[in-house]
Amino acid sequence: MDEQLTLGEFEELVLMAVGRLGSDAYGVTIKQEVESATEKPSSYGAIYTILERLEKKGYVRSWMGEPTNERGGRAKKYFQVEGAGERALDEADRRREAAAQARTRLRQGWVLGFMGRCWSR
Amino acid sequence: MSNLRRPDFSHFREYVKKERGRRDFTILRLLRFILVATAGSQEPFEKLRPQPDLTLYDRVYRWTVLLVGLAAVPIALSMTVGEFLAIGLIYPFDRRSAETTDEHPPRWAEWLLYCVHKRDERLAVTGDLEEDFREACAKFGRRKAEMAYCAQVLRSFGPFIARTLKWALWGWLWDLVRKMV
Repeated sequence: MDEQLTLGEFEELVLMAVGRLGSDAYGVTIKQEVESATEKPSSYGAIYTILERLEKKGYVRSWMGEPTNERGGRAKKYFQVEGAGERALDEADRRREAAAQARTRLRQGWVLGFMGRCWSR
Repeated sequence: MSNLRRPDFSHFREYVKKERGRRDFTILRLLRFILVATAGSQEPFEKLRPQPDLTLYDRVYRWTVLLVGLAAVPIALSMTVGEFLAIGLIYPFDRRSAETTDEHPPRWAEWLLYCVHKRDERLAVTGDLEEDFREACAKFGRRKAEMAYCAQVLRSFGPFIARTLKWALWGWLWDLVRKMV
């Protein structure tokens, strides 16, 4: 298993938001998407720190757009998920499924063990 | 006038002497703490005397730890302060806001953001916040929008300042390595 494909919880949220937004993924929309997913307010500080980390890992790439008037003549910084980012999301899904299966097996084990103990008595 | 006596300051002198002693003792305690923390010994003042059982390597190592430990923090901080000032100076020139309306975010908050970002990200973050600000202005009025802007800047400032300090420290270490090599 590739060790680089690890994602933190918030990293995964941000990466999913970037993936879902497609070509319209920049600071404001990413923050709105994360807030609607978590139902909690988040800050640009947290979002941009995570995006920088994801970019360093090679999961997203960024480029500057054109400056617009409604932003005070400043450019937007767009983000896009790369192939490694998609693989990391798949890997996170796979791990979550494995954990769910392990939990189910554990519960089944408890039930079967309990039944076994009852039977042996 | 004869019944006027010369004021007696003896109790004051006593007080000053006592306080001075206490202050000296405090400084000594501080020194002792630093030496214990760095040299790891319970008797730090013994370390100041020449000790035949210590090798040259030990001495160099301990003094290096002491000096680097004492010097690293203020140097890293002063570099950060320098960066703050340098980047903050370009703020009035770099601000290319569309000044067609009166609605602009609080300058001090925007300046704070300018201080902790690289160029590309500076434009992106301040632009994002300004977009939010204008939207809030239209919905809730200028006062509430300004409050929301300041709250957002202050909330964002923790992660940004932590990252800036990290950059400063790495930059300082990189300079040091370059000078040594």
